[in-house]
Amino acid sequence: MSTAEKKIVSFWDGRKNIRRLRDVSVTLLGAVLLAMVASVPLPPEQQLIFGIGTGLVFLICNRFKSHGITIFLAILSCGISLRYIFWRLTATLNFNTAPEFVFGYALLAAELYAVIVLVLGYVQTVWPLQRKPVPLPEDPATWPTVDVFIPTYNESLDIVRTTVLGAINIDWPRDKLRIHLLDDGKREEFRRFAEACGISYITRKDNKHAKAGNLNNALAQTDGEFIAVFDSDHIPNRAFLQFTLGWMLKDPRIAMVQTPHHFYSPDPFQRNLAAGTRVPPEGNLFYGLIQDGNDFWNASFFCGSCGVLRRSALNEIGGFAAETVTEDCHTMLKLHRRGWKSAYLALPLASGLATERLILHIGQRVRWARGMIQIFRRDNPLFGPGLTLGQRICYLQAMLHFFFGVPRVIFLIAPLFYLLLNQNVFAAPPMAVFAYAAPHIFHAIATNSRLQKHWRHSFWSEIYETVLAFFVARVALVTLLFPKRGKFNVTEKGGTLEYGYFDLSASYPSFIFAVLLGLGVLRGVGQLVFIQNDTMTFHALLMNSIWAGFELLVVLAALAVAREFRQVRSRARVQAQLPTVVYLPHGYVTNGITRDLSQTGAAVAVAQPDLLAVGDVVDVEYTIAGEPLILTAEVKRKEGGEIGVEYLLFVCHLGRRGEGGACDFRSRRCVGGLGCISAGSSVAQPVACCGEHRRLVPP
Amino acid sequence: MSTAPATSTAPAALQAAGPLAATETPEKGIRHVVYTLRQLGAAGPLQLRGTSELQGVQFGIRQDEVVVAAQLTLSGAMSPSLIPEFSNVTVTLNEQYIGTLPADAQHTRFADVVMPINPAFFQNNNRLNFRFTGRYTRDCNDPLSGLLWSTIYDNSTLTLTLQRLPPNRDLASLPLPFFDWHERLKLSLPFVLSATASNQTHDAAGIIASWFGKLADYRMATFPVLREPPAEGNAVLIGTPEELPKNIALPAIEGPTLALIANPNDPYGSLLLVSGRSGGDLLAAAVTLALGSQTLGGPAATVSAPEIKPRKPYDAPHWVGTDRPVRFGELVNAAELQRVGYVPEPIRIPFRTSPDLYTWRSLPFTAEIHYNAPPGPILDLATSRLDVSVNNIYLASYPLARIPSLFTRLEQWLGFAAYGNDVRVAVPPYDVFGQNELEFYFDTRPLHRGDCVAIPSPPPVSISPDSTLDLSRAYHIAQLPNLSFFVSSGFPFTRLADLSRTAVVLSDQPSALEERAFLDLMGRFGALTGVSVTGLEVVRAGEAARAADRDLLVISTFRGFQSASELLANSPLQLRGNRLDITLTDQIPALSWIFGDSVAEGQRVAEARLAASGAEMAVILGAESPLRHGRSVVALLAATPEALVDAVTALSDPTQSSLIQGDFVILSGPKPVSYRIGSTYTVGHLPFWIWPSWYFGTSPLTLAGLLVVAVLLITVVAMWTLPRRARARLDPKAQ
Repeated sequence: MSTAEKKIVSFWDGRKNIRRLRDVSVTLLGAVLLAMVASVPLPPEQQLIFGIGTGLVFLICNRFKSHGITIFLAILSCGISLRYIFWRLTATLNFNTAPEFVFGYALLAAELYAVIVLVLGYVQTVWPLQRKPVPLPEDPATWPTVDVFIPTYNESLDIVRTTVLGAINIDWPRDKLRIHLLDDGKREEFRRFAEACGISYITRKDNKHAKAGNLNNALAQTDGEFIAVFDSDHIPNRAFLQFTLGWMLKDPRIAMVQTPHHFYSPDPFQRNLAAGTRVPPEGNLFYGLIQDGNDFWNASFFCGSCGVLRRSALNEIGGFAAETVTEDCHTMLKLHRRGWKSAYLALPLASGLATERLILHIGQRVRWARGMIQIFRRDNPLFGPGLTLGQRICYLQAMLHFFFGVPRVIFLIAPLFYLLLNQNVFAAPPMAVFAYAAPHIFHAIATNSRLQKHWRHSFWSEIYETVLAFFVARVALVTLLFPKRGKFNVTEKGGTLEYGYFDLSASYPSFIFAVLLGLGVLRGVGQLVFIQNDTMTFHALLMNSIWAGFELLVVLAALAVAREFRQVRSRARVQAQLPTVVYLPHGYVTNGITRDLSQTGAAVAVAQPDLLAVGDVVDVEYTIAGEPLILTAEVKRKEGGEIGVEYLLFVCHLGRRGEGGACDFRSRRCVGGLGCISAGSSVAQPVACCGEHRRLVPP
Repeated sequence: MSTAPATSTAPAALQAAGPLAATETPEKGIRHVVYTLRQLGAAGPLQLRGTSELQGVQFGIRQDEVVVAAQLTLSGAMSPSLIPEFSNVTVTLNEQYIGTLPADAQHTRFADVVMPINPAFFQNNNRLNFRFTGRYTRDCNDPLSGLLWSTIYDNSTLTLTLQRLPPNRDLASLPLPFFDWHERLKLSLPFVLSATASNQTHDAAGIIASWFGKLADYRMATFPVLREPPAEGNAVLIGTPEELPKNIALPAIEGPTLALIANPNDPYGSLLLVSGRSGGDLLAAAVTLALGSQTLGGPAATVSAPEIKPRKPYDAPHWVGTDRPVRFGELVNAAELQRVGYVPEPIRIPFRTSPDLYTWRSLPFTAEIHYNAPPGPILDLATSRLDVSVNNIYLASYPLARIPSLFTRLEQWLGFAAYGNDVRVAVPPYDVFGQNELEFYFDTRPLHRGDCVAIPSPPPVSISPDSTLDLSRAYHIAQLPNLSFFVSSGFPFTRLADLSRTAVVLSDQPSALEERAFLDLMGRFGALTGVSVTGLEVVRAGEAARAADRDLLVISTFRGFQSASELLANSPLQLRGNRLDITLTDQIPALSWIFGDSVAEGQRVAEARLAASGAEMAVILGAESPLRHGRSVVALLAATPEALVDAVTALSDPTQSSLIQGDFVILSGPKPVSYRIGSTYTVGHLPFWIWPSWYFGTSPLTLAGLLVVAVLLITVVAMWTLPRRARARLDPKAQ
């Protein structure tokens, strides 16, 4: 290196150091100032003025969309909450009785948890990376080989079939795409199906380590450069590999690319609580915001499905992690510890069925909670080598999240300490509690609402959490003490429900809470209305009654989720408007637009409904990406201008009418070539069947 | 009966007035005095009840006097419902019978009942007791019945004829005969000073005045200044031989001298001579007297100045320190912590503190109190309780005894419930100011009241002298000027209790009355702190700049203060001739409308009041010293010397002193009026992490602004670094 070059380098390093010094010192100054503001006590009335002032700052700033303002508001919220917690720790812990002591510190712990999770959450989502797909090289011959793993245990072939067909139809050179059905159920039917489809069928003698063991077993028997994993109910899009592998090839240190789990059926909350209204699915927050935020910190993790992994990376850590029941997250944690990178693409490239019934949803979350807390106990991301601070924060946040049950239960019953037991768990005048807590709560809710507005509506988190709280709290505490307990339970999907019913097994805790909170509100309101109270008691009663009333609403909503509505269709319907042509038996043709679609039928608004009668057998032609797809169907119902059709033959061949293979849909038997239909992101996307791959252009 | 209850021991400021009549008969050394019960220490009429049947007063007789004749003249009333043969009030002096007031249903009131007292019953300390015995029915009396009462008016009088004893002039018996502990009246001790006394003479006089003030304590003291020895009685004589009156036979002055000599005008009177060859000798003699009078002996002594250890701030012995918990036993006699009776007089624990106490978040001080009361069988525990208050502000009540339930035992184990009768009382810092009093009020109920059984004799109750008061949470910081601090505690001068950071500024030619005002104030400082002002420096108005690094206390008439009027530079006040003016601060009307300008408002009102005040006007003002940042000036200024003395007297009158606050007080007419007219400054020390609370603790919007600034700073750094980091994340070569 010449001296001139050295000078340039040292000058640059100098600039960098100066910049670093500037950043560190300004941050320190800000932090000291923040701590100072947090430490200054104000009398309640003045604290109220302070809160109104900062609230106005929020309202004014919130009118601007810039991401810088979002960061400003998030830090502001941290400052306000810090101030609240500081006050809480220094001014409210003077208890008179033993129960007050116990409840009071329990509530404090719950609040500390909430603030820690709040702050870590801001850090986690401070800068969603919004990674775009990278195109693959021009020459497909240079593309790598990929093993697609579809692990299954007890899911029905009905469900698995679509996934396998979707995988077969991924646009990738045929000779470089190997699809493996990993059947831990050892079912002959599955073996025959795999054979018919021309894919590999892998099974094993024991079912040790559940899903992780299943994957590791397949890992040993295959040799593709990359491994894509799909749960048996996640149907991949044709573009899946082309969109995800670009990053793998661009950056050889990326060990895993994850895509969202997209569900085309409503989750229990959407179905039971918000039927007919547009509420984002529960998983949207995680896949829309959190994983994208994690990606900024190089901390997005594998979610067990809809992701691609690099075999060489997996080999380095000895395959999928089998120590916990959430093998996915733990596998990625191990990879991150070895310096591998991860990437997250916020493009729905596969879609699947949401858990249908609440009790199943609860079972799934209990498993996740157990697994994450197992990792927390056995391979805590705060300690151990190899992680950056950002990664530690993101993983910690992911694990801390699953402790939410305990604080949620405490928050639910906290107002009852006062209303039913006359215990002051807050050793402070109610006015002061209000003056300090209200800004803290306002900023936390409002800032999160700004951050999450595309992904989750305000207060839905409370409902999600309340439904699960008791179950997750129980498993969290047990797992924290005994991390080795617990087994992998497979989430059932794709069922039908003839009659609606109320699932008490999934809701008895909410039921108990609702009764208690109801009593509390009655007591509070009763004393407010019928008894002359001094100011202090009046404020305390009012505040606790409002609090209990709000919790009661949340609990009632949670109870409503447990009211399982009937679900007749075994195939979920997708709302979609597609132009169709309906060919009538007697040669007439009419145009139509679909209202919704499922794998077995459609609702179509036709131009000339008079031509049709219930029982007619028609051909329905869709035009997808400029190519026609024709399905033979029977008209099952006719209401006004809309007909409901059910496909008779499962036709999946591109081309003109009357050509192509077919399968008898009712008998589920292939007649001609392989049938396939794959549901894409938000519309049903029938895709090319068994043909040669095409090169796709990333959006 | 040594534990006689219900005698008021409160420092009775009302005793200020002397005996109703004191006449000196032609016989030398005989005098007659008449005291009312109130002057002897009763807080008001003695209210005798079924459950508080014994009350009385305590008073002393000087050691150099004997009682030769005495009589009691009583007025009062007794319940008309009493049965005469079982009901009366018995009067005793030192447990010796004096007389009985019988119950008389026809004459509820009694007036001027005269009872002669055998002079032999008197001692130095005397207890005059009234015991009430009453029955309103022959059997089954309820001691709590409202029918059982009698009242002895506090204007009942005790007339004494006193014979003075020949004086025994020995320095070893100091402070006798100038001050006698037994006397509970305000001390009045003349000082003889030359009209041309030097600064050091004044300094020495101040030290001695503060020493007597410290001794007089709650009795308070005043020091009239004379140019010649008084016609009768005792006096203090201070000065170099040249300054002293010529008609007195002086001992040989060969250095700092202390001597007791006869009053040339009164053979029974003594003069305390403080003299020396120079001003320095005078000071040495005064300091010796103040710090080491016990070591003296004989009629005269030549002394050498004792070594004075520098005092630490806030170490006044009369103040409860903030360095450790203080035992109640250190604050009052153990006897004061005991009472007998079902509803006895409250136990009062007076304590003084530095007035500049500040606790973070106003966290309370704690008093760990252990109290004793008989257990169950005597008292109805369900209704008996102990009420605790500070400065008459109720704090908490506690049951007298508890039978711990299982749950309580658990709480005890966890530390929430006390064992036995230990309680922790939180005393809010805003209820504590310079002069304070903790009050413990036992309210007990006998069992079986009203039942036809004998009530057990009144139970003893007490507060343990090992109970503690802990102020160690406090920091010393205050916003000055605050004249209420000056009035209640002599603050900021008493921060160093010996005034070693204080200079008193006197007129260039102080009159005797001005000197008296100065000495009275020094006596008051001695009483407030419990320390003589041995570190004091006295300067004249013209030489105030010499004491630039001290806090300045100005005691002067307007006229005498002319040459030092630049000391008011930090105050809007201006001295023009014999009148004061206020220079109104310029203000922007709009701003004052928004922020409220109480200072300008105060200036306007004070200006009007000043203009309307008459010739007999005095003012007290506080400001930051123009000579040194952080030092204070407090000025007592008056139009006439008489008004100046009245102003100093007003400081120790509780009804007037409680009205003194702010930074400017006008004393003209019956009540002082206080204003805030100038800027403030802060004195004291806080750890750095408390400073924000001190500065922003009352300005929420400033605090919100600071928060926004802090958040902006961090946001700016985030916007500098995060996009760079995001770009690097998407570039494989960057990492």
